[in-house]
Amino acid sequence: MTEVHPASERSFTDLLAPLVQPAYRLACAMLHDAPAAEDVVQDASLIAWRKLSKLHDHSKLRAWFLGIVANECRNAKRRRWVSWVNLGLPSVLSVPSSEENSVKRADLRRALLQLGHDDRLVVVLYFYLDMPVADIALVVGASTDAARARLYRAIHRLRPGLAIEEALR
Amino acid sequence: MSLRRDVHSAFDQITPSMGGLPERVVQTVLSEGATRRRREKMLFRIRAPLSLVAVLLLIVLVAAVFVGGRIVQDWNALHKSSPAGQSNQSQLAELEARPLQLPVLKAATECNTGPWNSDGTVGSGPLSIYGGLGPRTSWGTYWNNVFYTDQQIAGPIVVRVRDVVNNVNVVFVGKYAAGPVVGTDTLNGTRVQQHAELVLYANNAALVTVNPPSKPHAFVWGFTVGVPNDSTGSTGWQVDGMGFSEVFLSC
Repeated sequence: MTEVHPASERSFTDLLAPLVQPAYRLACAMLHDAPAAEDVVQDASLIAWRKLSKLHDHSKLRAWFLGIVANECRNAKRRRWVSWVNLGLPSVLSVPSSEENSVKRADLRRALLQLGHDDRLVVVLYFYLDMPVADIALVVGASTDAARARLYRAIHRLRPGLAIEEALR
Repeated sequence: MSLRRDVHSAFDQITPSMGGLPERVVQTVLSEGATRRRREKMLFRIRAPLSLVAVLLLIVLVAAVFVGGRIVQDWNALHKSSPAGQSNQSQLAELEARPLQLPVLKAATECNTGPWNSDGTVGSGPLSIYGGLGPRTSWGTYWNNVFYTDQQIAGPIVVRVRDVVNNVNVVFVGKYAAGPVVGTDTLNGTRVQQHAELVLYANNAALVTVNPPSKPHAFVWGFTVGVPNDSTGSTGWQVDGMGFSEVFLSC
């Protein structure tokens, strides 16, 4: 990873640009709200810019930045809690069978929404951003074992009948 | 279908194209950087004047505290002059020099409280006294009492109290307590000095007028008197003022 000089916006933005896409995907998956996700990414970028001097190991920039995004998602949810009240889909869906896959996807999103922030975060990072558990641990600020345990627990809550080995494929 | 593929599929469905988001983010950061630099320059420019203002404010604050303190001190001296600060020190010395005229009793059983007055309090005048039990300590018992009078008072009034059976000193603490310090005690968690006498002035009486008996009085002094454990509880009180001397018993 290129050395980042805090005073140089250009070097920072060069490093930041490739991180915007995973950050945006993470925010969309966490918030289920594209405009809010974009706001979160913008805010997280500014926070990262201001606090960059505190990051001593720049090889961890990606995990550090996604950690800021995750934290901003949590804050965004707190700020917008009212709008989340009605976000879930109805418990019984009546749709044509041709849209069965769409319903399954909606069901999965709804199930993920019912997970707590921390559990949902590890699922999104592992299954959607395809990050290894060691990197997830850096994002959530926990040990690798703790991150793995949290992931297993989240999978169990998400799909109680699914074997962990099968889920991790 | 694996869970990973399901999750990808579920979220890809709700994640729209970024539509130039990376560029917008970069622009935001660059713009913030420029703003930040301007702010830092401005801060640098006003930092020195700010320091000067802070020093001036500090000087003004210290001066205000000093001047305020002097004003409060002068105000207190004017309105609540302490006995020691009174101009009539010679009158006080004269009253303190008066010999005690208290009776000497052989036993506490001989002691009778009085003389009583028409208010139902003790004292033949011009001062009268009433009170009630205050805090107890390992040293003795304190009483929260009140002297009052309706007569005009000129000069100091000195009050001295002794046990009329065994001549043990009875002491005063707190407001109006004066004269030699004869001991210390801890009262309601506060260390207090015990004085041998009480000195009252017309201008240090309480501003409020209270009963008894349900009528206002010209001058009222609330004070605390301490009776040691080795006292018999038979106390003789001598109240000396300019032109009068009053003695009463409290048993």
